[in-house]
Amino acid sequence: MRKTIRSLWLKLTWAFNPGTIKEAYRARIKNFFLHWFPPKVTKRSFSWSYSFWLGTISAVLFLITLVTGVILMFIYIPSTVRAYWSIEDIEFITHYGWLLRYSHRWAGHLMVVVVFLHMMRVFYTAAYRETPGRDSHRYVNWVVGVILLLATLFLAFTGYLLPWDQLSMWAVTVATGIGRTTPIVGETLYRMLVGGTTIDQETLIRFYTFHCIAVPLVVILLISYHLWRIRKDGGLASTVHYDVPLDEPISEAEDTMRVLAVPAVPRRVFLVTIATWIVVLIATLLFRAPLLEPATQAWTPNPAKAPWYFLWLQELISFTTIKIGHFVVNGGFVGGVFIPGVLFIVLAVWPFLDNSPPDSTGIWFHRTRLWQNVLFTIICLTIVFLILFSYYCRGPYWHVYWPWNRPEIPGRF
Amino acid sequence: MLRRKFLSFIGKFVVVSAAVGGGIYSLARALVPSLLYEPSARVDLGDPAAYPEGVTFISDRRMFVVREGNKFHAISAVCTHLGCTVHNVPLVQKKDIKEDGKILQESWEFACPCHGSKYYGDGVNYAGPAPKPLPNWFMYISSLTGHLVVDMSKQVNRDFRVTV
Repeated sequence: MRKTIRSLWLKLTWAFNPGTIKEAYRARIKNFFLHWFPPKVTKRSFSWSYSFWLGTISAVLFLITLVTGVILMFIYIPSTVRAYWSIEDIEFITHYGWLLRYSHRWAGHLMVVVVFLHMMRVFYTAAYRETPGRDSHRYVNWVVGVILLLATLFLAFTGYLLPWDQLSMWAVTVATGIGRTTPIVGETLYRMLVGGTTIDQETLIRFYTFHCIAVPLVVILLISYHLWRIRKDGGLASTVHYDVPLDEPISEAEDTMRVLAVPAVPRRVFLVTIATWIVVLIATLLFRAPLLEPATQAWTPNPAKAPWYFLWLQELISFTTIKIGHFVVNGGFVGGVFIPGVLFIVLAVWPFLDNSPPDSTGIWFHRTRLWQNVLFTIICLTIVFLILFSYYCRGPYWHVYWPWNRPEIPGRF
Repeated sequence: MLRRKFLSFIGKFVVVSAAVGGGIYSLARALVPSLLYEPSARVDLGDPAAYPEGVTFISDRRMFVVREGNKFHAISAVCTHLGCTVHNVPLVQKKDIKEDGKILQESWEFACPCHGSKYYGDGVNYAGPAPKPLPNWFMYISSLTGHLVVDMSKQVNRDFRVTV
């Protein structure tokens, strides 16, 4: 009996423990989970300190939100009458409901952070550049990545409305109000998103469908394409290409820079998965997710703050209303649509503007890219500063306070 | 020959772009609501005698009803910046404001908790990011019931008053 189990176990796992190099190659082709990996990877692609595995971590976080989210979908009721109370049930009645809700929330918030850090890593290493002398199109993955960053933000934001508490209501009021200020198309876009002129049942069901079906579907497709492209482009950006054509002899120097992908890479992917999961669980156990009073249009909490990843926009829109005589432009458009719109467009086309020499590809802080790294850092730090300032120093009526004597205005009930 | 090729290209282009464009348009257009199940813009506010002097907040329709003696008017409570509900802030000391050359005395103001917009007691914005004043709504006395009725689809001037 024990022998049978042992042999069955070995049959199932042999691909992860190949005895010889030949077996390792065969394992990769025969196993569904391993055929995603190339035969060999560069040591650079594989190293912890080059990429920090941020892309893998984001994918794992997405997977955690997917699994917990599907369970939550079975329990949550997207109706303005019952949404709030079903969240309260998830928190206090459902067995381990709190675990699902907090894990889902933490994985979502961490995903926003890690996807942003992933984007920073790719920028600082110029990893959107082509490997010299090879046919690759990494700018495609960069553009897909920017879309994925926007999709992540949209996922987090649509999830924000679902608890239907005061936090959701006013964060969504402000954010949809921003879109509404866009000239010409603003009102139509607003009605498409909100399903009417006020945040109500129509809005809830729309956000629910975006959050649970439409956006995750797009994100799954884009992540798959993103990963596939990494292989097509020859692994993570570096001056060495792993996928040497058969008729081209591999130089010895080049070969010492590469390792067999299986089982080394899946092992690390597994480690990263476990570590990410543990971090999410620790956050889940340490911090509760907030749930304020049930949502009401009648009364705005004071102050009403957007979710933290949109706080920099809220800070911008609070002082960018332009008044020249009788000519007025709503700050919602300037700070909430125009400035971030320009930032994201410039971000997406940056690979075409970057004209540093090709040997800066895949190098952290290459000296030829000094000025663009400085510019990028300044923008990132400004965003972080605005978020922190808005989070800690803005009090009732959006006045500025020191974080330690900011008055807390209690809720209505 | 060249003309045939060109016409064939134009033909294909028109058919394909009409199919794709029409498809996308109809999908997107379906998302813009054609009918709103929202409460009527006309609101029955009940007996005017029930309103106290000064500002009363009508929470479910997000507006303020202001009574000055036997004169009434209604101000929207939706901030013109991004749509938060503004709060009515009573002033301890009456404040003189100058508007269009006239001096007005006010005993309350409006303030938005979201981005710090501030409005005078008559709804004119004076601080923060609000781009324009709070609108005043049309108001009348129903000849049938004698109730105060506000029509939120009609905006009126700031000096509009209903005398009871």
